[in-house]
Amino acid sequence: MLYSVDHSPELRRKKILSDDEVIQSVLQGRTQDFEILVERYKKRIINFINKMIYDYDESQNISQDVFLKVFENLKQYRMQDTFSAFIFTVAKNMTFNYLKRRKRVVFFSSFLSKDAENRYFRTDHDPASTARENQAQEQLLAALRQLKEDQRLALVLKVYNDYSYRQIGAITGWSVPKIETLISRARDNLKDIILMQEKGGLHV
Amino acid sequence: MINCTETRRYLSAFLDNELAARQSEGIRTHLDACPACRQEWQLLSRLGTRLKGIADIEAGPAFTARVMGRIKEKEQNRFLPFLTPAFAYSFVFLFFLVIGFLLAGTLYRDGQTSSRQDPVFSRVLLESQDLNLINVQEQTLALLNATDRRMPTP
Repeated sequence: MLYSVDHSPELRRKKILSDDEVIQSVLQGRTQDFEILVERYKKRIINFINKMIYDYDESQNISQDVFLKVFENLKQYRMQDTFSAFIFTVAKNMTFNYLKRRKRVVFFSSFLSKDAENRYFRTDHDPASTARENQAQEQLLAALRQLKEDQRLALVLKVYNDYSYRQIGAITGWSVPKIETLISRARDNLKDIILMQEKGGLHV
Repeated sequence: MINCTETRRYLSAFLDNELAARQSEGIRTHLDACPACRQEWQLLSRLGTRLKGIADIEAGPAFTARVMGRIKEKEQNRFLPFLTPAFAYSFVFLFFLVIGFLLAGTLYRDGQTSSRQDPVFSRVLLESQDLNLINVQEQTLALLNATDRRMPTP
């Protein structure tokens, strides 16, 4: 059986260009090159947002807006920063704005229906969620969802993106000791779930 | 020598490799000697593994194409930066505001314009009075006559 391998110069170029080189190219007028950055970062951004808001559809929508915002503000990006920190800062800001809006909607909806909050924390459209048959994982997700937003943000950036505390500081604007405290508290809050599950405990 | 309280305090940062080499070494030594702290460390390690086990989601189909489409749209409208939704709403608002003012002005003028300023109506009234078809009050008659004098004969 023959396997075709694409050795096209365009594909090679896309792979070897650094983020900063792509940005230079976009700023010089090759708008199409922005696609390289979208391809590189889309999964990380979508998952980061989804872990923060737990809504598959909204994660996709907000991620699109993030890339659009990044494109519009590309001139403001300084090459001495890392592009990764730049895009995650935009994603963090847009996610927090969304969470604020959602809180307002939930607050006002709560006057109409007691089930309002659950409606705005949809997981039913999340294909990964349907694949997640593991009840323990669902419990952990629920506990993660109940963490304070700043604790969740710090923990998600650490665990799922493997950023150092300094890098998290660059994204959030928080000091390293504050990040250390937030992550430590987030872990303390979550470890009880693990203990409960290991003892064959109940739902969170 | 690092004690249990200090170990617990820095355990999270220790797991994340965020401590200085000397501090890390101190905690490692303590963990070797303290079963309770070692248990805590193992628990946090398991938590990390479990968290990483949460499934990722994929980008929706045509995600990149959608983003690039929106960027292209933006680029095409680059030379018309004022064509934003905010601009459109402001334009519609101003349009209706102007229409409203014009309408209000017309209505106000109509309210001010009495029948005595309408030459045709005045003439009809005066003719009707002359033919004894209607009875116009004296005051009105005086006003109508004043208007009538200014009015060219049709």
